[in-house]
Amino acid sequence: MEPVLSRNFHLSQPPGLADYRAGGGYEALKVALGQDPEAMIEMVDKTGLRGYGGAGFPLARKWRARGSDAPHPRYLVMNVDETEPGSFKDRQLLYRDPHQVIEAVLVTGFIEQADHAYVFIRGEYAEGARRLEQAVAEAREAGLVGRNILGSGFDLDLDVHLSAGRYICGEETALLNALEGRRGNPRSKPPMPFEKGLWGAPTLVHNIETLCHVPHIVSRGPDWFNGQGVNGGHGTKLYSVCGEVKRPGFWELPMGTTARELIYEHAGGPPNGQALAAFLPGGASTAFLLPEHLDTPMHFDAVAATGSRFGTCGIIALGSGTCPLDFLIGIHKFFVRESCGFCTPCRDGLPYLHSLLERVEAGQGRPGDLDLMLELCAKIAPNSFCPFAPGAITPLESGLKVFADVIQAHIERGACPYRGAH
Amino acid sequence: MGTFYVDDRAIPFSEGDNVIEAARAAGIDIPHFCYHPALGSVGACRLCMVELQPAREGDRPRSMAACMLKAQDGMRVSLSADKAVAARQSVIELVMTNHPHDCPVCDEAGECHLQNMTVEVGPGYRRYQGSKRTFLNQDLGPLVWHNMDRCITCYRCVRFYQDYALGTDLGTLGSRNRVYFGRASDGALESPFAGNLVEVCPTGVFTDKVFRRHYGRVWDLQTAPSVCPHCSVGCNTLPGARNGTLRRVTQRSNHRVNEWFICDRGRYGHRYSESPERPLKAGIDGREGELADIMGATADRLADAQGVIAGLGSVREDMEGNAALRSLMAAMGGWYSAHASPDLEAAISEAAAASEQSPTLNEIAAADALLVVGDLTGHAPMMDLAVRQAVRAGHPLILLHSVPVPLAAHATQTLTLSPVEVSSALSTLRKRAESPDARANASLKAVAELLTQAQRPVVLGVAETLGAAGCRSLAQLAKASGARCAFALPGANAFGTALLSRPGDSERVLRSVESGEVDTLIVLGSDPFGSDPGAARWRAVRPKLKFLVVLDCIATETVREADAFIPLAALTERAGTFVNYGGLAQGFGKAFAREPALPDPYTTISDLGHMVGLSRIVRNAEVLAYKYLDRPPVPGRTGIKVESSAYTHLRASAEADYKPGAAPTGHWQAALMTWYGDDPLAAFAPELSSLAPALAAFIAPGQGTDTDPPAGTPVRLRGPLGEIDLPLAYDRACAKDTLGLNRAAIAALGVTEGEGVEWEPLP
Repeated sequence: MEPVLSRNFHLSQPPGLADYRAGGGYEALKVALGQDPEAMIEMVDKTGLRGYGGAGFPLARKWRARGSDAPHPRYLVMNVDETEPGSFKDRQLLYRDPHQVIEAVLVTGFIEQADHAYVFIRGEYAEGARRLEQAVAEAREAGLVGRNILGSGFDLDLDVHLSAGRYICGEETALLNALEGRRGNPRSKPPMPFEKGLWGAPTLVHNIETLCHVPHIVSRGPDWFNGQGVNGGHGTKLYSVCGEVKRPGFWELPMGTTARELIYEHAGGPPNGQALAAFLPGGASTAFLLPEHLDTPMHFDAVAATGSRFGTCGIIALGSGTCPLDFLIGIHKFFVRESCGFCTPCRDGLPYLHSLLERVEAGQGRPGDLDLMLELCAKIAPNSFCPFAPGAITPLESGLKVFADVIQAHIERGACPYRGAH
Repeated sequence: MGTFYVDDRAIPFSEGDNVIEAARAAGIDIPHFCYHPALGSVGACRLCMVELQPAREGDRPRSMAACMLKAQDGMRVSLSADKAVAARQSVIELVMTNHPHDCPVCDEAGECHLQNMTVEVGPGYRRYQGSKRTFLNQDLGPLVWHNMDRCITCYRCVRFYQDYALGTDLGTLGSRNRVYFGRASDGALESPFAGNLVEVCPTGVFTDKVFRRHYGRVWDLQTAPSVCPHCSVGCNTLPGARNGTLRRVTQRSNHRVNEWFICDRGRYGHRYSESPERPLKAGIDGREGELADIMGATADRLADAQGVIAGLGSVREDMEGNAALRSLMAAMGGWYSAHASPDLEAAISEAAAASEQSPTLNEIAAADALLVVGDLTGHAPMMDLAVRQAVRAGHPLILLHSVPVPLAAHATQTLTLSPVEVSSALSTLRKRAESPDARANASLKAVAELLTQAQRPVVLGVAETLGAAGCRSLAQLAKASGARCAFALPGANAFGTALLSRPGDSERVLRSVESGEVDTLIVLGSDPFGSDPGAARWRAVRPKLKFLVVLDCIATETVREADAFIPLAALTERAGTFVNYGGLAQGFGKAFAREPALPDPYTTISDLGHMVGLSRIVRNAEVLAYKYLDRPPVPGRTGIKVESSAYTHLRASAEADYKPGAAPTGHWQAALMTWYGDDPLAAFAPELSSLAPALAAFIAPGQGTDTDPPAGTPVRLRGPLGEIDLPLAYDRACAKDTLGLNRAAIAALGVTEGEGVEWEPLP
């Protein structure tokens, strides 16, 4: 398979403007500037390109929801606040090919007829932000960013914003608050950001990987894009696998590649003779899949059919030698720490669950603890303000059910059954 | 309009209402923490979860926060559905995981919203066994006590402090279950409205630090519906007393005045009544005695005073006391006025006469263009808070001022002008509003245009600094531009005393003393020999008085000068009536009795009348006090507007062509500098007064050709009637040629706003 998004990733340094152009860079921008935005929306619609930030909302539908008659100013925000545990794909795009990111923003900005664009970058990706800013300066110098881009009469400026650094700032409305200089708490919806977003103006927020596909679709067409996928998937995907595997990493592969191929062929399977106990398919905030699901094609619909979520498709593998409770506590602690503290179920409910998990882990568990944890899960997720708490509860609730016998063993023995097992 | 259903009960709603608001209006109180009628909905606490029945058959019911759910016609929600009940109980369980079980030692207990909700919603027992998160608390100054361990993170405090009151020094810090509400570092809260944190906080994070020092359980407090005596707005309050001492004052809602809040002067100013300096003993000629004896001895000396007596009432005393004094004077052939200063009397008359259409606080908040002249914060803090609401809604605020004022931070346009320039700007604005051809500079043209083109323009002025001519200009500007107009008056009952005055009474009282025709003076609740406006002229005539009778509840300079002193009950210790800036007469009740009981002025003056053989005082006083009301107002009700005949009287008073003497001129114009705690009564409240700005003479830097003397340089100020030494201070928010001085300095120099003062550095 020909690499698309990662075509410049073999270079030891990210390509500068000249190298990027030599490889055909910014050609898609020229093509796009000569086309009708509506025609390009139609084109993207035929690909079924969906949001790769985790929610999987079809891109063309998002554009149509805002509509071509939305008032100005309109904002475009590229979301590079990749903080999901187990996901590190966006980072590659940012660090390894910043001009591709800029071209994606420009082409999308033209399709959306946006007045200003922001790239919102995870605080820890400061080096990536620096590289992107450098590339923006180069592109601005070359007349690619700013007024009258390539003589087309289209203006679009772009600001790179480095986040102060919270997981919740990746949630689009919290991101907008953060960008406006407010606390990064989610806003209530409605109004949706495409109606009232940044400073009350229509705003579309997209994941970086999603947008990086757009220039390629514009220049090569939907049929080419759709032809890249396998097993019912469309296009290519930056997959990643981490956790208990021999060769954690990321690979651009056809959308629809099976979990088995990803975990065993590309990542080498669990180390030290362990079997695969389970895996989270789409980053930390998705439900566990089991070895029986290994042949699931990794695309949105196929993973949804198992009851879990495709998410960002950052797979985290759990080996048979590790205590699943430890694994759950590790993930859960992350969510406890990253809660913005706005609503009660999330702010106070997640630490409550944490105290119970630690109690069971410490051998102090009580007979009803598993039921109590499940009860809390059932009350926290549906009553919270934003999708953060449901995202935090999903792996925990699924883990408590999948590994119920392990949890009960902790409670009954008063100790971790994995301790001293090997 | 439409109808939705809460558990099959039909609830009417208006477009845009959310479920919690509409249900509340229909008498269904859906449990909540973060929702507050004045602060709105944010959806943080999740206690108001209800079950939304699906509109389409086959869909599943959804858990929704009633505060974020817009009511729709035909919508069905359930409070009693199992899932809704479980969701609410879960919220209680979760907020209680960290909340200390310290109700037995918590000041909030008994009026704690969290306590009420926990009892109402349940669960009654804790399952959580983990450790609780704890915080370090901050010293937030003398008024508000901070205990963050109790916080349930409803965000009400910052939503009030920052969003509603536009304060900047209290905010949300941290995240997750360590969200912290406080300041960047320890220090006194800066907002004039900080005390409301105590009431908006649904639990004991912010409690009344003053109450705390002499605490009583809230269910043990004796209360009565009262009216704040600290400014002319007349906010409704609820004083609470125990064992014969006043412990605290809280807000009481009256949609015609203060619907939700009070200012810190109103909340903490009451401490005057517990001041160790408060004079509680009657005395005459240097000896103290039983009240009855002193009254008798006083009456004996008054018996000879027929025809050589005058009475000075007070803008901070009630209608009944002032009316009784006026009746007594009428019977004894003496002049009466409530105003030590003829200039101020004229200003109050002008302002009151123009207040027939004055807006309520809610109407000020709903204005779509505002002109404010002077320091509203210092003279009527709650009017300032109402102005902030209009600013929040995005409406323009134009500010004319001579000295630094807090509202400048929120104004769209600030015109910093000397008092004399303010007068001429007002007259230009009036001419411009009357005729588009009148000449004006660009900024005044824009202001006039803004007011004339607005739908709901409001102009607000401070009577004390505007003076009679300024009040008249502002009223005429309001009339010409179609704006509603209100004035901050100098005293809780200034409007009422204007109703009791006749044109020039203050000048007549003063002249009668100055000329020597009067040698006996009864002063009720005024401080003519201390810091009342006009005091310099009064001090000069003190030697001419043979017998000075003073009735008051605070230790003023005039009390020290008294030949006979009769201590009065404080305003929480008796009932009475105040008429507020808008002509709304409100009764206040007696919250408690002090031991030994002190009399109210009405009874005292009536008794003195009886003792000197004048029996009609009581009846006459009643007629006078309620002359413009269809009945006496009852404490706890929303008040009674004065009848339109009152305005006929006021306009006649105002039109009596008050002619001020030629103002002393000079390079430097005096301008009164106040602050939100500035009030004769509140000056005796130690906690509030500790926040008073330092005494100094303020000017803008860089006005002379020479280099400025360093800040703090002692300077001698010379006015027409006195001298005073103060340190020099600089503030860029002072107008050119303007010398900002506090009330005592202005009184000592014998100037009014805009009059000339000279100063020089002391060697």
